[in-house]
Amino acid sequence: MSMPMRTLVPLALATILAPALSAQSVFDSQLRLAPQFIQYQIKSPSNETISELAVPVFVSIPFGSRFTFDVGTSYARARATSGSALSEINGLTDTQLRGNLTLGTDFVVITGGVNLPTGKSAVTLDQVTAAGRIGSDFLAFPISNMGTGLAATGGIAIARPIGDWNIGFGGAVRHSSTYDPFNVPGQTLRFTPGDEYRARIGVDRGLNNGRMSLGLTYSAFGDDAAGPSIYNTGNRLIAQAVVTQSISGADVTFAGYNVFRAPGQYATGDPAGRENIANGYLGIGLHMLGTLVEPSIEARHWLQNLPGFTSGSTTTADRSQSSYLGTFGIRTRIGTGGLAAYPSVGYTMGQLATVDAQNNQVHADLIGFRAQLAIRVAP
Amino acid sequence: MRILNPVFSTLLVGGLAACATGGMSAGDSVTRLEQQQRSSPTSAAVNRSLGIAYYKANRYAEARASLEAATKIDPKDGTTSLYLGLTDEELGDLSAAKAAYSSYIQFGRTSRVRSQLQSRLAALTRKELTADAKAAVQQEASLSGQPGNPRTVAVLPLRFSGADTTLKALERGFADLLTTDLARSSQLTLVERSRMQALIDEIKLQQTGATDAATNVRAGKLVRAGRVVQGSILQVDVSSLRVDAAVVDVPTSQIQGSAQAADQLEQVFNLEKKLALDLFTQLGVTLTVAERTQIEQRPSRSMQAFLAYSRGLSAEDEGRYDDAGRFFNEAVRIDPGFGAAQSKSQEVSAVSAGAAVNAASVEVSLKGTAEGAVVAAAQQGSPAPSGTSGGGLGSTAQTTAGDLNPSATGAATGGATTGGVTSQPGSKDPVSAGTGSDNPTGTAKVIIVITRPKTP
Repeated sequence: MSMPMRTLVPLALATILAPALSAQSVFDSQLRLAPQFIQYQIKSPSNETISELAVPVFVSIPFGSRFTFDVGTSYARARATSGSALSEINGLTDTQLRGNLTLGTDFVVITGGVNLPTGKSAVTLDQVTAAGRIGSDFLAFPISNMGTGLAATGGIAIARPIGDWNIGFGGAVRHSSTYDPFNVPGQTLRFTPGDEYRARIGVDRGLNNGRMSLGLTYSAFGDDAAGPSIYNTGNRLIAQAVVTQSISGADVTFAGYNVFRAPGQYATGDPAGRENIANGYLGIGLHMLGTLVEPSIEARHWLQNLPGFTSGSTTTADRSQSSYLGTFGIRTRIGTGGLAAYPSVGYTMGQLATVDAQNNQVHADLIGFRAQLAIRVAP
Repeated sequence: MRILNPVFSTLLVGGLAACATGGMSAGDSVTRLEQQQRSSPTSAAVNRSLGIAYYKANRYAEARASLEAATKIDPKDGTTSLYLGLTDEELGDLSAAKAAYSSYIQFGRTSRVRSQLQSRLAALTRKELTADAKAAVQQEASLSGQPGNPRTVAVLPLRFSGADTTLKALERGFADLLTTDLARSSQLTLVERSRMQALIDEIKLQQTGATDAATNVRAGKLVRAGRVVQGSILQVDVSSLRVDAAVVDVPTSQIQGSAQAADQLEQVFNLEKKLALDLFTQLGVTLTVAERTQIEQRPSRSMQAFLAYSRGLSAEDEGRYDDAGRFFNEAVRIDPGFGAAQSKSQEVSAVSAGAAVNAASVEVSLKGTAEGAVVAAAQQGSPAPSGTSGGGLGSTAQTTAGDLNPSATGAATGGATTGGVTSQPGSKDPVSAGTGSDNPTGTAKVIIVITRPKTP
């Protein structure tokens, strides 16, 4: 599994939007803690409730002006209920260690990371549903899995100025070790994720009194091996855009991303159709009441292509289905100086494509709620 | 999307209401940033923006304090250095302004501004010479009492006498040649010709009618030179010159020694070399073979090129940089190998361009850049462009590296950053995706996988 890949774009956004790292020593370290709860209710005909309580912790420690080391882990509890059926998994997730080394004045950054298997990478059958549901690309839970085994990533990024633009490009490889994804008595299934090869190009520039950043990341995956099965659920292309502007004293942020996944194959041998998730976010940071109040709205669309299949004498043609959701959120800031807390809440409405008992395409209503208290401690 | 319409409408109304409040005044920006500075006194971005806001409000002393605080926290921030330099200029501290601009040239991100500030540095050096001269004359009583170093020598413009006034420019040219040659000796420290000229101009400005000799000695005392070289150029006839030079001991105003040489006008370089070597003797300096070899090199092969160069120096001393540039270019055209003329041409070109550099022209260059966004945000009362670090190449590289090697918890705690976006896109989770268990409306086929035969 690949928890880091799961959150590729939000990391980019967080990095773009993070305050400048002018830190020069370990005394400029930063601790971030963000306990949060997310729940979605999927109505008839699915009738399922999925929730996650996560407490991620992230520490960034600079060593001099050229090297930054960070470590992150999380506690998570995922729960999926359908009628009287309950699936739940909880515990510590994997721990990620990462270092970035900056070379030269033209900004070459060498990055390396290790995913330590401190989480629950092996799940029981009772836990499969909960562990799987939080991996949903569409619902996008902050912690997308409980553990993925030992893995290492190495890469290099280079940035150069071209006119008013800065262009960054780079490549990385992630290699994962074999582990047991399921804990089933009497059964052993060794799972070996395929290597990931990641290439990215991004540009950014000042735009009026704000900034615009665009990025394109292509991820190619080697075949995953699960016991005798070899499968690959498709390579990915992720496009991102972030535009920030200060308008009449309000900090306006527009962020968008589009994730395209190429066709692939499930472990069962069934074809996995291509899919596309497009997301737009608009936040307006208002300086009022002596603090920041940031209402936001986010819209997401999920397009799935479902390959046709033959069952007995019945052949089903290829078809597509769309799901969508919208989230209204509000965030504010409390605290001053080195300690700041950002409480936020959000409410989601949408519809999820599914099939009814007669295998007809229908949409299930979706509502959701999230609450987060993000805390940053810095000297 | 239909279900979101009410929400969109609410937000749009809120957003338009915010827009309708209009831009912030400078006072509002300062007030807001002062509040932020009180709560985040160690934030480089806040101090930087507050300094910029003070600068915009013409509160230069406070601007300097804030910008210096920002510099201490983040010495490599170009925008801080830029505005610190502009502020120092407003406060008349040219030396500090030069240091700040040099810092921008090293760390600043906007190439057009780097180029402008390189020119501005040259212009400030000229302004500094004039300011130093004024200050020296004002502090003459204290400076004159301090003994000069006998090894510090100042060469003063020679006085020309002759019928052909087109040769008058040799006063500066000849002094320049002598300064260059005397500086070849490691035993002497030569006062920069332009610095000496600025001092003489200032003395003459304040005391009209002063004799050259008296002025020269005063100037020598003010630059704490132990000795000055002064003299005259006499046009003997149409084609020949005679040059007399004297070494004057500054503390006593007594002539220590003298030298003279005469030659054809076309042999002016031979004449100057002979004079220079005699002056070394008068100054008690024994040259090494290497130094003597260097001194014997002719700066140009052309008397006409040297005359054009000398006229350029005169124009430069009078602050006519465009004219000076034309004369130096003419010298280079006549003798493309005339290195000193080439250097001077570039120097006065920079000074001329630098004289036109000011806050307005720099801010035009910043427009549309990351640093421009920082300035614009400061005017809006924000420490940085909304949700950004101010951009820059380092930010781009770090972002790229972050995307190549992302941290899930780093992203999950992203809400603890300014402008944090907590939305999550889809990405690959091989086991969940491969078994279909990540599809909220699908049926996982994990059983099929785990019941397959084990690998032998």
